Amino acid sequence: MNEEIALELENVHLTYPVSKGSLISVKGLFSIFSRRKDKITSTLKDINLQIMKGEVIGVLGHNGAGKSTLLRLLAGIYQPDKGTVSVNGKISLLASLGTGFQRDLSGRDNIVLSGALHGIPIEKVRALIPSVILFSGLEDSIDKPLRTYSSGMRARLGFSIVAHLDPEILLFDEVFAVGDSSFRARSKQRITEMVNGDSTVIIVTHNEQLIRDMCGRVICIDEGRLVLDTTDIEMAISEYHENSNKRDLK
Amino acid sequence: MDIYTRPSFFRGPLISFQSILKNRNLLSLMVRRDLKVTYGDYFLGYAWTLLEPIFFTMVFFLVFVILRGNPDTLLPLNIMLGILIFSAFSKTVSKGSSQLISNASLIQQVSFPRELLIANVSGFQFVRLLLSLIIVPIYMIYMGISFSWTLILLPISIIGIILLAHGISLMLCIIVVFVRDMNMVVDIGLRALFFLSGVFYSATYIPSKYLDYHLMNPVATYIEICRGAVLGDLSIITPFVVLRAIGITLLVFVLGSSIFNRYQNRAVIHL
Repeated sequence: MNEEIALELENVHLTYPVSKGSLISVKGLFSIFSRRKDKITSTLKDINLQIMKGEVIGVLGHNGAGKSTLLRLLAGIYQPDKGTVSVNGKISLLASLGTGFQRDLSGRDNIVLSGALHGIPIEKVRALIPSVILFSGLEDSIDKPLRTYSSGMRARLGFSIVAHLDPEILLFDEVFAVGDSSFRARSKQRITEMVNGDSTVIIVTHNEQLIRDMCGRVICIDEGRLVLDTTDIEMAISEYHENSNKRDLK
Repeated sequence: MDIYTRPSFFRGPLISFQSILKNRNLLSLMVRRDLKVTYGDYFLGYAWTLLEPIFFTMVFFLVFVILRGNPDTLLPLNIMLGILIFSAFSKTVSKGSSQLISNASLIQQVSFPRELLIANVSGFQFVRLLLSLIIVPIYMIYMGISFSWTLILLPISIIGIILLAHGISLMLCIIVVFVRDMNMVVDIGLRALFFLSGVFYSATYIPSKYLDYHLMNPVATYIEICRGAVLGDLSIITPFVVLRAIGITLLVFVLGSSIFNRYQNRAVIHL
């Protein structure tokens, strides 16, 4: 793999169960004997993609097109059924704020736990605690149990932790705009810093303005297929609208 | 550079071992978190690790010694040891087997070694068992039972039972994702095993012609090793019986970690 390539997908195919959970259950036994073949669906079909280091890429597609699945595949959470995914660098998926939070622990303890789960060495997380607390603006409640936090406070703490991750490849899945207006401004600035830095960034969002402001390349996904890969942002947005309209007509 | 591929079946134990070694600090943090969350908020805190076995021992003592009139003065201690070892096994398997399902949202959002979730339960129960065992020397002094050199065999019982439960959990947590009914089977199986493993009766009560069958169950063997080590009586526990239990445990661990590493990626999609 060329050292300038951050991510590479070759002929990637991933199937996904339509109904989560049980393949075999008392309830499921009846459907095994039925002729329905809809228990498994192809979420990603024959995806080929090469992303160079430092690129900022937007991913567009309607709900259920396979965008989040693609990010989870890149993050190593899912493995392809066919094809290969090659990753060159430390990767972080920011899909949900407050991942791994424990409601009975204090905000401070949760910073350590969540940071460590994201792969930061514990000593480094401990050193980052003052900076995370300052960024979150939760100095007064950081030693209180998380169950006493409002949902907005939890999201602020969650974002402050991920804002201190320092990955080479960043995957954003609709993690924007949390907290009150001043925190939103700070978080937007931090995201911009992360995007403008050396990191390779992939952003999944329905916010077209964000795509225009930040991305140099856009890929469109429709029904699990990569239908467009272009540096012409407006053309990608038009394609996205067209696919969405077609889907609505169906 | 990382290339995501499906790991070979037989590399499972090695992958598990390397992963836990590499992430031992995170594992330790997770175990300490669970101890803090489980006992931190209670008035009696960690004393609950002792109170639970004492309470159940008193119940069995009431039923078997006082009401039934059994003259065996060592029975309460035998029952207590049986409860401590079986409880560590049962809680590890019961919680460990549902760890992937109960942590589904975390698993779907962060890429981290998932075997840590199972190891976390095993580690927590290991520490809990060690804390609970504090009651044993206190009881021995109270009853005037002398300490024997055989106590050095106690770690075999403690480590063996946790490793056995860990191996079974690794296997079951994958199966449970695909076959949710397995949760019920685990529950029923553990209850059946409680009666079959000699928790509230010593193996000395078992007719000699059935004793070897009884000790083929590694859980029963670890309970008897624990009793033999504490009471200084190794008449039942022969080296063959001990080695067989260790052999079964290692086999279960190898099989469990192989199944876990081979199928965990597929299981994640089904969560």
